[in-house]
Formats: sequence, C-alpha cells, structure tokens
Amino acid sequence: MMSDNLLVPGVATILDIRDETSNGDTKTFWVQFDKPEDAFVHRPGQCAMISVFGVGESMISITSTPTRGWPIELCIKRAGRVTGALHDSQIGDKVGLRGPYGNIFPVEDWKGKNLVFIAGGFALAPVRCLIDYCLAHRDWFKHIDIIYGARSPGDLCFKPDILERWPKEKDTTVSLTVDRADEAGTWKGPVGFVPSFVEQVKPSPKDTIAVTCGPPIMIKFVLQVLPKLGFTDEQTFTTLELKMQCGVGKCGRCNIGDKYVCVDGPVFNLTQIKKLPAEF
Amino acid sequence: MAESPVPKATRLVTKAGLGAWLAALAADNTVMGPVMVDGKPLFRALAAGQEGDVDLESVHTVNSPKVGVLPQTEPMVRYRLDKDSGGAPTLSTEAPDSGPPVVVFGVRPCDAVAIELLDKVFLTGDFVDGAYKERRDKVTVVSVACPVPAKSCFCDSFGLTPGASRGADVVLYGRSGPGKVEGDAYYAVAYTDRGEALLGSAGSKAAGVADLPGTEGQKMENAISSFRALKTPLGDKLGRIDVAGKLDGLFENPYWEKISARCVSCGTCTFVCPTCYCFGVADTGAAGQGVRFRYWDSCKFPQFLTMAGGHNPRPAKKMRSRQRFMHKLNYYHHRYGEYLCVGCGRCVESCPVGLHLPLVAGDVRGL
Repeated sequence: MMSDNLLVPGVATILDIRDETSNGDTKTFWVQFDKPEDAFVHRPGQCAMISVFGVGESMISITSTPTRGWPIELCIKRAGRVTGALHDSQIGDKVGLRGPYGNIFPVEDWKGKNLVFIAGGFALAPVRCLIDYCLAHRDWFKHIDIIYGARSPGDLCFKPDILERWPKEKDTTVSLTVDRADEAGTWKGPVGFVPSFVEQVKPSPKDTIAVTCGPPIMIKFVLQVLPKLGFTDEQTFTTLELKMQCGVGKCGRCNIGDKYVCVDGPVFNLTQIKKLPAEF
Repeated sequence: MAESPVPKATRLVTKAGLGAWLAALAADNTVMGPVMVDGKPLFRALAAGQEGDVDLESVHTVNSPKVGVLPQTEPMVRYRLDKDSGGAPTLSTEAPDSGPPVVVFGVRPCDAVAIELLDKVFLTGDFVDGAYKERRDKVTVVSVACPVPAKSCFCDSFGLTPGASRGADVVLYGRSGPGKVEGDAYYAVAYTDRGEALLGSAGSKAAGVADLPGTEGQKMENAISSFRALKTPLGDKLGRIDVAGKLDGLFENPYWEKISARCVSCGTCTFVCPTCYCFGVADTGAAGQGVRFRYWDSCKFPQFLTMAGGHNPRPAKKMRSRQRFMHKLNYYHHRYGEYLCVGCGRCVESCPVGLHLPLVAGDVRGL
C-alpha cells in the first residue's frame, strides 16, 4: 500500500520511451508501478505526479486510456528541470509516481452525441486518453471528428494513432494540419493554423460536444471560432493547467479564483471558465 | 460572543508552578511555547530546562504557532537509489518518524482558531493530508486568554474574542480576569477529551495542577465571561469584517494596483501569518540519496507561480497582493464558509510597508 502521506509517491519503472517529435523535445514515457498494489485506475482527463528523485515532481496528464490498463503513458515535453531529467532518463530507470488527480471529462453525459476533438501540438496528449476511451466505447457516440495540428509535420505527435489507427475507426474522421509544411515537401495535407482549420472543417454543433486542448494562444482562438460555428459554452470543454505542488488541493498553488485546477479541474466547460477570473 | 462550550475539566495552575508543569509535560511530549529570544517573543520547541522561561506576557509571538502543526520545513520521504549492484536499480523510500506528541502551549485564542482553519484545508475534502493528520493527532493545544489585547489585535472583527476557546484543548484564563497582566494563577479549562487527559495526567497532577476549589466556580465563570466580553482596540474601530460578497465583484478593481505599489514582495506577511499555509515540495540531496520535503512558500514571491517555460499568471505585484487578500477574504470563504484570518495582528506589526489585512478589509468596504 502507498503511504497515507499523499505526497509520498510509489516507486515506478520507465518501461519504454518513445520519441513523438522529430526534434526530440517531446517523448512518451511508459511507466509502471513496481508494486502492483500501488496501481490506480484513472479516468479520462486525470493527471499523475511523476518525479525524478533528487530533482522534483511534475504534474502530467495521463495520455493512455484506462481501458488499456497498465503501464500508463505520459507524454512529456522537455520544459524545465524535472521534465529535462525525465528526458535524460533511460529505460529501466526508477521514478516516483502518484495519482490519479483531477476531475474527468463527463463522458457519460455525452452518450448519443457527436464528438469533436480539437488539439494542437503535444496537447493532443490529454485528449488522446479521452479519444481512445471513447473509441473503446464506440457505441456510445455518433460521429467522431478529430482535428489536430502542429507547427510542422515533425511536431505531430502520436503518429501511429493519427495516421493509421484512428482513421480506420468506424465513423471517425481525422483532419490534420500543420502551421508550416516541411522543406522536403513530403507534407501533402492542409497547411494553416488550427483555429482557421477548424473553420474550414466546420464541424456541426448539432448534438455535438467539442473538446479542445492546445497552447493557450490556440485555445484562445479556437474558443472564438466555435461560437461562430454555433457551439454553445455548455458544449465546449477544455483543460487548464497551472503550476502544482501537491495535486490534492492543499498547497494553495494552482488556484484560479476559488477553484483549484488540481481538484476542481483540469476539465472545465466554457461556461465554467467564463466565471473564473482571468488569471491563468 | 454567544460561545458557550461546556468545560470537561477545570483546574488551577499557579503562575509560579507553570515551569514545573511544562517540565512534567516535557517528559512525554515535545513542548512548544513562547519564549523571549534576543528580546523578541518567538514560538518554538522548548529546549530541556527552558520550561520556566515561557513568556505568557507578550500578547503574541512574532512568528505564529502554526509551526506546531505545519513545520516550516517537513520531510515527507527519504529515498535511496541503488544502481551499482549490477542488476536493475532499486529505489527504497522511507517515511520519516513523526516524533513524540506535541503540546502547543501558551498560544493566544486567535492562534488556536487558526489551527482549526488549517485543519479544514488539510483534513477535509476528497483528500486527507496524511502527514499533517499524523502530526495533528498528536497535538494538544493550550491557549491563554489575552488580558490586554495589543493595539494591532482585531480578532473581534472576525467574531472571535480574547477569551475564545475554539481550537483549543485547554484554555488558561488569568485568575484575576482581564485588564491585568499580573496575577498569581490561571484557571485551566479543558474543552476536549485531549485537554481533559492533559490536565488529568499523572505528570500534571504531580506538578501541582490542582482541582479548582469548590468556592471558586463562580469567580472563574465571571473571569471567563469578562475575557469573552473584552474588545480589541483595532477590532473595535474596524467593526465586523464581512466582505466576501463584496469582493466577488472587485477582482478587476484598480484598488489592487494602488495598494500593492509599496509591497516589496518580502513574504513576511505570509510567514508570520497563523493561517497562511501555502507550501512547496522540493528534493534535497543527490539522485542517489536524499529527502523530499515540503516547505512554507509565499504567494507574494514572483516565483510562486512561475512555470517551467517561464509563464507566470501573476507577474505583477497587484496580482500577488490581490491573491493573498482574496484567498483570505473571498476564496477560502467560498470553499470553507468562513474567513482565513483570525485578527492576530501580526501582519500589522511585521509588514515593512504597512500593507496589512485590516487596512485592506477596511478599504474594501468603501470600494
């Protein structure tokens, strides 16, 4: 059993490390607890705190669907000390792991609806968990639209999913774009930023839930496009992130107004977000 | 206040016997209390033999007794990585020993309430903080009613009084009532089982904690009532602070910019505050061996919310000042139904630029 001390992680092992981007700045880590009894069951939207002992902890969204069980996958971009130390790790290295934290996408409420997933860059990570969860329960939903873009073809993450696996799923459309095509000219698909691409793909708001994750600037403009297409605030979901230390609503770090992203989020619909002070 | 908790036990402790009592308690407990250090009253764990030096005259210590339940730094886990055995690396973790029970002695009634406000954060909600709980379950809080509130005190602005018992296991009330610092003895009143056990312990009895003379019941009642009726100078001027609703609409008010211009981001307010609890978690040591600990952090520091990559949602002083006052007077109230301030006045005394809570609470009413 893990300690009653919420801040004490279980010991886990890195089983695999996979490059997601061509420049090597984003990798997916496959991790598994050393003690099977430490294993938790997460739900789409939730995060885990991963740590390199001697360096520190980082809160990372879980990118693998709970329907696939363990090991779980964490897609991590090299950004600071902890993520840097993780990127420098080898398969077989020990890490700390605790979780799952945060609220969930209200998937049960979406039964019978169409789903539109809009993601940019490595922020496909949290949405990927949700997409695979929904695909594992394919009968619950009508059409599934996946709209995804990155700066360049080399920055598109989860290529086996976006290029091969998802397009083959029943009644599922995958639309990809890049900000800039590569110089080699291998990219034959659409070129343009995600928000304007969403306007072109033009998903119907009728009986549809839209979920968007990406860099703040992308989210900002996607949230301007969706209402133009007829999506209401209640139909529109996104995730927020803020610096976290405890992950359990105690350390006073990740509040936006009276909400803590770690326990009240990370998933919010647009109605909820509009009630928050603009401080994130 | 209409507060009337039922005492579980009443005793009499002479002032001259306090040191002996604390020395007796120190046999089984870590005793923390207020002592003068270089002319300043500080709240800290008493060293052996220091029991007689406890200072109950100063209205409050410069630092707050929250150290009794939330140490400034606290190890969470020790780790050791063995990599050189040739096989797969192994990582062992070990929880630190939480130590003996703690008597948090001689705090003021406001500080005892503050501990309860921290309890709400750490012990309620979907997650109970195990490290905090383990320590807290072993803490007995002994407060002492304030005979003469300081000019910076404003507990009554939050509905408390210099004789409040909330959060305390035992309250000491000066036998001669409020108004006089000097007196020969204290009524020791236990309001909880834990307090009753402390007063009734063999050590307490041996150290002269005596039964209350039957003839003195009414006199004690009168003294307690007088403490509870006592007003504080600043609180009397300010009146009741109830600004949570008003603050709902003031997030974007230019007031925050104006008031925070003089803030020097030193974080003193958060460190002396008995209700500020925000913490960070960090590792010290090397990759092979070390300790992960938590430490008090401060929302007044620019780095508090700076993320890897450099984004900081609160880059300006006005945002950080607003965060602190909103947390105390609005956000916490939304989550827990009361204010995260007990009116101890430490920020009034310690802020180098006079940017303190009663000032802001008063200003907010006029916005």
